[in-house]
This record gives sequence, structure tokens and C-alpha cells, in this order.
Amino acid sequence: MSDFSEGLTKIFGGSLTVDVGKVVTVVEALLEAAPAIEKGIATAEPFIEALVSLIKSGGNPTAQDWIALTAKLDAASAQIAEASSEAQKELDAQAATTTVASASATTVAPPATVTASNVDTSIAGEAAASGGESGGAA
Amino acid sequence: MKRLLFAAALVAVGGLAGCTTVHNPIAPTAAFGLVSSYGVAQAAGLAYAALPRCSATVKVACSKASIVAQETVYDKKARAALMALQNFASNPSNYPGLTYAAIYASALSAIQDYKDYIDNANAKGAAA
Repeated sequence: MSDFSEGLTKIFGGSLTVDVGKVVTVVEALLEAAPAIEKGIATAEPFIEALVSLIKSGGNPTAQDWIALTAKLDAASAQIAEASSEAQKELDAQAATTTVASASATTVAPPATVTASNVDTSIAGEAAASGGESGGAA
Repeated sequence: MKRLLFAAALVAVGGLAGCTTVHNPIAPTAAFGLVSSYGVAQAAGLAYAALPRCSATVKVACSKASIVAQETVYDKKARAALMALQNFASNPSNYPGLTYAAIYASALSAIQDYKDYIDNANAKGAAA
């Protein structure tokens, strides 16, 4: 069991033998694990505040507490879904660009049947025919 | 400062938990605490998503679109597990045959998966 899950178990469940040092370690691990956490902690504060408020009240969470918490989680989930959607669009755009570039590369390649000698022969033939007709008319 | 506040808050939770005995069904405060802790994990996920995208010029403290795109999958799994935990705490009779341990382990595992995903993403971003 990792420090994180072990710590949560100690905090919230099981025998509830709380080791404050361990809890701090878990919190530190959570904070240190993600370089972005310092920025994310601002969005985390409402969750902490609600929990601290509940602890101070000494009572069980009310239906209103659950509704408020659920609303916060819903809002965060909506933001995560939106971020994921935007990221997926970026990936789709990158994939489309790659496909177009690949298709363009294929189109640029000259057909194998077209050769300089073929073109020259055709032009020479037309010129000869044209010259013959003109010469005849003159 | 914020880090200390956060640490102090969770230590306070630990202190409270130390004075309480959790029985089956789940103590409402414990369930509330666990669900709240997931909000903190979500905040880390959002913070990662908000980082500039990794590129040839941005290689540190950046996010990858492929990773952010999958965040919502992990979030939905964790949310489902946590909602079950929350519901179980309020209405254990709705879950005949399921135990506190099973629901709790599922919620904990989902949070752990989400956290691991974000941690790995950050580790790769830092190492890129």
C-alpha cells in the first residue's frame, strides 16, 4: 500500500490509529508529487474549508453539506471534462494536419508514366501536325 | 503558507478521526472527508491541465494534450466510486451484499488511480 492510500486509510477508515507524522508525510507527498499543486491548491481550498467547518461544528454532514460538496465536485469535473475536450480537439487537429501533409506529399509525386520524352514527343507531333496544316494552307 | 494551511487542515481531520470509531456503515464525517480529499486531487488535475502545453521550447512544468484528454476518464471513474461511497454512507440499505470495506476500497483505489495518473503526467512533463 502506498503512503497516500495508507495515509488516507489511517485518516478516514480502518482502526483509525492516527499517526500525525504520517499524515503530514502523506500531505507533503501529495503536495510534492505535482509541480502544479501550488497553483492547484487555490482550487482545493474550498474543499478544505468545508471540511474544517464541519469538523469545527462537531456534527455530521447535513444534506446541505453534501449538496454543497457535490456541487463543488461537479464544477471541478465539468472543468476537467472541458479541459479534456479541448485537449482532444488539439490532438484531432494535429492528426488532421499530419494526414493532410501526408496526402500532399503523395499528390506532389509525379506520375510514373509522365516522362520528358513522352511530353517532347507529343509536342513535337502536334507541332509537326500544326506546321503541316499551316504549311499546306500557305 | 497555503501548503501549511492544507497540512494543518488534514492534521485536524486526523485528530478528529483519532477520537472517533468508524463502524459499518461508514461514518458520515469520514465519507465526507474522503470525498473532500478527492476535490483536492481534482485541483491537482486541473492545475496540470492549466499548464502550458509541452512543446519543443516548453519542456518543463508543461502539460501534454494526450494526458489531459484522458483526465476526464479517470475523473468519471473516481466520481462514480465516490458517489457510491457517499450514497452508501447515507443509505446502506441500497447496497445489499456490499460491504463498507468493498465500497471504501473501491473509492480509495479510484482516487489512487487518479492521483497516480496526474503524478506520472507531472513526472513525464518535468523529465521531458
